[in-house]
Amino acid sequence: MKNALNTSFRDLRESIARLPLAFFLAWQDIRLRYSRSLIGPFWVSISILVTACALSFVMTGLFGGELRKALPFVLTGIIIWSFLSQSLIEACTTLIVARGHLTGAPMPYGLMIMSTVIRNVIVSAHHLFAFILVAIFVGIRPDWSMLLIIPGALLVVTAVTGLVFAVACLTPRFRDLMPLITMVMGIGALLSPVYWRPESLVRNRGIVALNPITYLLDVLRAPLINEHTMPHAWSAAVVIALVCLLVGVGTFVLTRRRLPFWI
Amino acid sequence: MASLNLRSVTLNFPVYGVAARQFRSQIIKPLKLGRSSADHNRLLVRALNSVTMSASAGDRIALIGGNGAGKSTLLKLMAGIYEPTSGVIERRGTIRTLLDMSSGMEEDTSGRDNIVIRARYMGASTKQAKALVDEIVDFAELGEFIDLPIRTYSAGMRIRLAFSIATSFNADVMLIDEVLGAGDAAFIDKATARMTNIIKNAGLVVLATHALSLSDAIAQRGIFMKDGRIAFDGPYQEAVAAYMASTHAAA
Repeated sequence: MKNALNTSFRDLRESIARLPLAFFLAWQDIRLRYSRSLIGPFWVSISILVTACALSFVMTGLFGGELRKALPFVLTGIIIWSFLSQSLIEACTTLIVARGHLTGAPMPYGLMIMSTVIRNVIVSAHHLFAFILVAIFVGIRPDWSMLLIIPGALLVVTAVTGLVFAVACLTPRFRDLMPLITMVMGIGALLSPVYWRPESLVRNRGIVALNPITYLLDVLRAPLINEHTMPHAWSAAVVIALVCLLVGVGTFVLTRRRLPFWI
Repeated sequence: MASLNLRSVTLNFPVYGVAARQFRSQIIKPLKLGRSSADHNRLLVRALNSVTMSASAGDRIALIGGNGAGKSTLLKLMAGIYEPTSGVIERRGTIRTLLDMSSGMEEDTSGRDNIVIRARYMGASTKQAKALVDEIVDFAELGEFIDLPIRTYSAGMRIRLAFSIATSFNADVMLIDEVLGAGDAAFIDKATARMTNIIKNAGLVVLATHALSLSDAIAQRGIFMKDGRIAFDGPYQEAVAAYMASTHAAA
């Protein structure tokens, strides 16, 4: 146990010391991924925008309400949710893909995992252009309370970082976790208030109240679209973010010394 | 000051069967009570068995031994790529490896970008990495190929590029696995010269080999490994003699 703590914390210290490299690698990946198409990442933003339009049209049809209220809600929901699900799906292969770099020379594993989170933060942040378009279109007025997106985003990124660490360390050992996680992400998008408003639930309110995603979505989305957060959303999100981080670091500590044999 | 210190280091390699790699078969395992409970589908291979050695600056060590004797595993353990199952290892000084050099290259990226990426991995800043490009292109004799993706390269070009990048940095501790496999005769001469130069500049060098040509030139100390143990540790010529004797005895 002492050895496990020593090895993993040395790894984390080194990862943080070499954070510029994690940024460089994230940026390099994005450049590579979009180098072949001219409009590149904007193509993804456009497709997210189209999806959000279609879904808000259906949701207002089902539950009533105004389209100009629903569109920014659904769009920000999709952006935040795809940050979470995309990060976790990519976490499944992070270490396995980086095998060539990890087995040839001493290299901190945490750095590779952090690079996955950073890459997804950059991709998601750039979808905000789609949001700004919509915000201007539906007339969301800038307000000082929008500054709350900073702590909101911090909480979401912290929680996702923890989960990404846990998933990235377990998938090399259990190779069938990836389809499972992909499936959970698909179901999660329906069970969490990504497309629909929590208050529009008539019964089974537990799926909102007991779902950690609800609070994480809320603390980032509400300030973005200039609405009030749900009661207790902030305190719940803080607790959830800390628990996720703890789970992530715990998994890393327990698996770090065996990871080189698993990947 | 560069040094390596290993005290009764043992390393077990877990080898997993298909079932052991599946999450679903792991959760239903407790349900299959009584039936083949010994079958864990997981095998432990003892790759290193209580290895004790120490090396300090100035040492030029050749690791000698047949295939599967544990030479590469020992190098990876010294490098910190593997951590021991039991025992203690102390490392001092910056460590660099020349192990599997061609791994970690991005197939769809140009040679130029690969140089920058690999150099950044090795600890250079982007500016330092870009400054290295011309020298590496020149040494690897890649010419205009440098701006084409790596996947268009021949095997020889790949190894020349990988070798040139990996040998662009000095270190206190240099851990080398027999690397001069590919490339034409002219390049091998050039590469050997460059390698000898790096070895001269490094504080402490461990070189795993069974070709014995490079090690003949540089090693003063030899460690002969057999079945994950150190069978002999002493002057280089005596270690080679011990290795030769054991291969002849087997034949």
